[in-house]
Amino acid sequence: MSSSHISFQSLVCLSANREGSKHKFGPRGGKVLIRNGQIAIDTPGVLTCTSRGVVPHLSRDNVKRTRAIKWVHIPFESFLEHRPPIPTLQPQSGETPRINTLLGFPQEEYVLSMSLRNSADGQEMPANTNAYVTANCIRGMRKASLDWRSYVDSCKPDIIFSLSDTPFTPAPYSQKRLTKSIERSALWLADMLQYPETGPITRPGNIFVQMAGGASAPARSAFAESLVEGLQGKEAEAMRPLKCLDEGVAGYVVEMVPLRLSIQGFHDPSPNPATVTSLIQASLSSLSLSKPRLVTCTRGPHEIIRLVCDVGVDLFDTHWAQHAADVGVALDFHFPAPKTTVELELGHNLYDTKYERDFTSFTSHDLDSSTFCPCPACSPSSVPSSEIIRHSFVDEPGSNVSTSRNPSYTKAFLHHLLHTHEMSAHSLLAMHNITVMDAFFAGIRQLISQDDLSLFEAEVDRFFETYAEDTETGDTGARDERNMLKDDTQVNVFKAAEKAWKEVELLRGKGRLARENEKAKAESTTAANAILTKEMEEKGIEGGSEAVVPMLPDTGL
Amino acid sequence: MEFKVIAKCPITRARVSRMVLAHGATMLPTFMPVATQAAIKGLSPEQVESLGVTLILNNTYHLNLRPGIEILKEANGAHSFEGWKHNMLTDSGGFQLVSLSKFTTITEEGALFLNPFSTGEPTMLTPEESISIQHAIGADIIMQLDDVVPSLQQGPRVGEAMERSIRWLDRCIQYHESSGKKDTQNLFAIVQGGLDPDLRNRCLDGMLERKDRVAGYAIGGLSGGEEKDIFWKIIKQCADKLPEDRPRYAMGIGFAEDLLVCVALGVDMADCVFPTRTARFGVALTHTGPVNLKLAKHAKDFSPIDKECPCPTCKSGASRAFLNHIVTHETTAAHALTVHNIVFQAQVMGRARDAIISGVFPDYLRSFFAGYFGNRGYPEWCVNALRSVGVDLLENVDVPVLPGSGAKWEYSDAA
Ligand SMILES: [Zn+2]
Ligand SMILES: [Zn+2]
Repeated sequence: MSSSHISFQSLVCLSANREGSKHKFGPRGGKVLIRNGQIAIDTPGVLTCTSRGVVPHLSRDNVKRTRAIKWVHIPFESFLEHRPPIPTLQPQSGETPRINTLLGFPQEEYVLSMSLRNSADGQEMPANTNAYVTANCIRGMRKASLDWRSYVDSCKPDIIFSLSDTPFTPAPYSQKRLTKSIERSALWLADMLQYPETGPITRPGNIFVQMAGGASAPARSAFAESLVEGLQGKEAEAMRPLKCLDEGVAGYVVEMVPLRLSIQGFHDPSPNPATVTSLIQASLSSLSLSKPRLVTCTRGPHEIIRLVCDVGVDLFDTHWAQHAADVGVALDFHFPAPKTTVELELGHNLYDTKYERDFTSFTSHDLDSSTFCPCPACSPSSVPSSEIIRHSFVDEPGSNVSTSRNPSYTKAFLHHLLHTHEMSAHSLLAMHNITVMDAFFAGIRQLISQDDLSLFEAEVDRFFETYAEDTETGDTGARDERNMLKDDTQVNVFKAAEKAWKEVELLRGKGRLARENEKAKAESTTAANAILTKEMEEKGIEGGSEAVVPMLPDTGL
Repeated sequence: MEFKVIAKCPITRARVSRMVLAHGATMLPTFMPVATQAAIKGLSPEQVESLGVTLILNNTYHLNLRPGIEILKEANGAHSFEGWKHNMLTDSGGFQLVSLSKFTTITEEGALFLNPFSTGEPTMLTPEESISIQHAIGADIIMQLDDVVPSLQQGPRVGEAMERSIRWLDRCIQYHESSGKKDTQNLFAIVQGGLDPDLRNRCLDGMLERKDRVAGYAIGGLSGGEEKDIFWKIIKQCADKLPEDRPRYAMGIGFAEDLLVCVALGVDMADCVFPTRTARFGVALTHTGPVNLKLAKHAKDFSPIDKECPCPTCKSGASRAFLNHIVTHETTAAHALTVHNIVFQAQVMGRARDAIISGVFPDYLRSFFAGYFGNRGYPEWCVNALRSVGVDLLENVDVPVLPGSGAKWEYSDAA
């Protein structure tokens, strides 16, 4: 058994008594044991998304401050702009895997998973072939095939996503295309699993497989079946002692972005939840119950709850919550929902002028002090004065530093930061939103642990009644009676935030562009002076005290 | 304000002092990072505090526009609005007003400008109004409204602006003293007079007469592209004449060599957007010169920016290769370099404090210049300026001396 082995401990399954195949898909609670149990992640649980190897908007000290970040997922493709990729060149430091050293995620504190592609990227891509998967990096398209295995061998992440032939060409896909997709995905998984029975490198026990098959339930089932089919001939030889591919698989992954695209095409990716549920069930129904199920890029708590309830999904990323931080939304919801008779929004669009003078924290329904958001924005605290950097022997960094919690950042302050385009806004929101998601999952786990399906379902209903679904990035929520159709006049918080965010970006962009254009046109002293004035203006915008820009003498050119 | 000089360099004019304001003690000389819009770019107050920074600058002009005085009053001032527990300084708003508003007219009453937010209605910023806005912000140090002209401006306008700055100082003092804020907020005068030593002298004379009613002095109207040899001479002229028992603040100064020269000439405080701004463009400041992390040569360099640096970026082991991968793509690259650069500035000044106290400040100057400029050559004006206070940078070293503003750094070309 390799040291990277992953196992899943199912503790509670609320639907063990449901009839037929339904018992496989009820809400369940458990633990994913990583590195032979060195780290345990409670499920249902969350992982944090990264971009270019970092949690967007969070410097390393802020990642550390955000206790909710325990598992980071790294799409590797941004590193393909160098060949060999930079992480593979990182000098090994002790036992720490290269990728952890490079990106600053100490192994004692973080679980790190790695996939080739960014699962949030749904842009159209050239077709894959038998030989490679097309990936995307800043310098254009890159082909990855067997190199993937050498990259993961070198980086040694805790969890590896196998390559998958996921089409990113416009749907619908032909039967032939789907068949190819299934075959290639199985083939590439088999490549990842071929290791000599004895030798210096042992077969990794930490591979998650992405469930292929697009929007076709039969194709999805067929892929699943190909995983449990007995291995034959040379393949069986190369993979001994595995009897089937599935034995070498540690978990199952469903990517929502390509799934939505394959159901609805590129333009209206808002599939009916029942369709999504049945397609994911088709992938899982012939597979083991004792492996964790991970879904990427869900569209918020409503979809997550459906997938927990109706599919028994164990792991989710916080892509939606992190995106909300990008566009200025502070999430504010709990599971179970607070007792209230009014309908609540999932968050606050802090661009909204109604927050201009709102000096309260992001959390409006803290049920009691124990549920108050512990994030660094709602519960900020100073580092102990012994940890404050001293720059000279006479420094007194301890003066005026309190050890108690500092006051929460307010909606009014965030409103100000967003409208003045200050990056700090997004840092505070990212820390908060990730923490809200973590608390949301803690709430789900707590309720599952009570082992009472009807209680759980009652709370789910109450959640759907209390909170309006994010209908912009989600859909109209057709989960039977939990359907919450909203009247059209009500503008969704997320949609409004996105719009405001774009407007502020645009305004800023225009100003800069105009100045650059004029720079390019400058030919005479007069024009040059005009530019100096602009630069003075820019310096003024930057702030500081008097830093005056000189005027050139007008030579009359 | 409690201001006490605790050590003096026996050779140069440099000194270490302890300044206690309403939000704690700050040791001088110090560099103040700029939080233009109530936040240091990308950082939280807890992060800034952890860097050992105890004094930051907020911009009055910006805060007056957004969030606006009414909101700041409701929030009980900028400290509580932005969650900053330590000392804060605000400028008068005058400089930004002149540089950002197209139709500003200066009259004896004040600066008349078109408010960009109130549909172009003309608004008057008087000295009294500036102080009143700064009272609402609640900074520990506030600046008089001065009549700002570009550094290279010549002719009668410079003298007029200087004289008016003295008259405006009187109005600021008057307003400030009658407001009852004198115990918690400290008013600084700003010495003007352009690049003309006579005008500077007259301004100093006028402002020194008001010494009992001002808490400190700033040197304004510099750092605007004037020749460096003129720059240091004006700083020296002012610092020499300013009273011993008042802090001296050089406005808009931020390059390491400028800071150390100013300190040697007797300056206690400085501010500049440069270190945080250059961070956003991918430049890390180090004791061996600035490093542009966008350059491809760093892509495979797995060493930190500076392995001795105590900043959270370097301490976390972030390598140049890692930073090269994210710089200009991810906001966190800006954060990582911003904390590093703030710590760098603080280290340059902190080491100056230690060296002054131990009586080895001239040695520190020599070793800093040797490390920072090395064989690239020393800026001639630094050599001249430091000779004027008894330190010869070229003693026992063989380095070229460069005319103009000095070395070409990675940030200044081929980025
Ligand atoms: Zn929070
Ligand atoms: Zn550093």
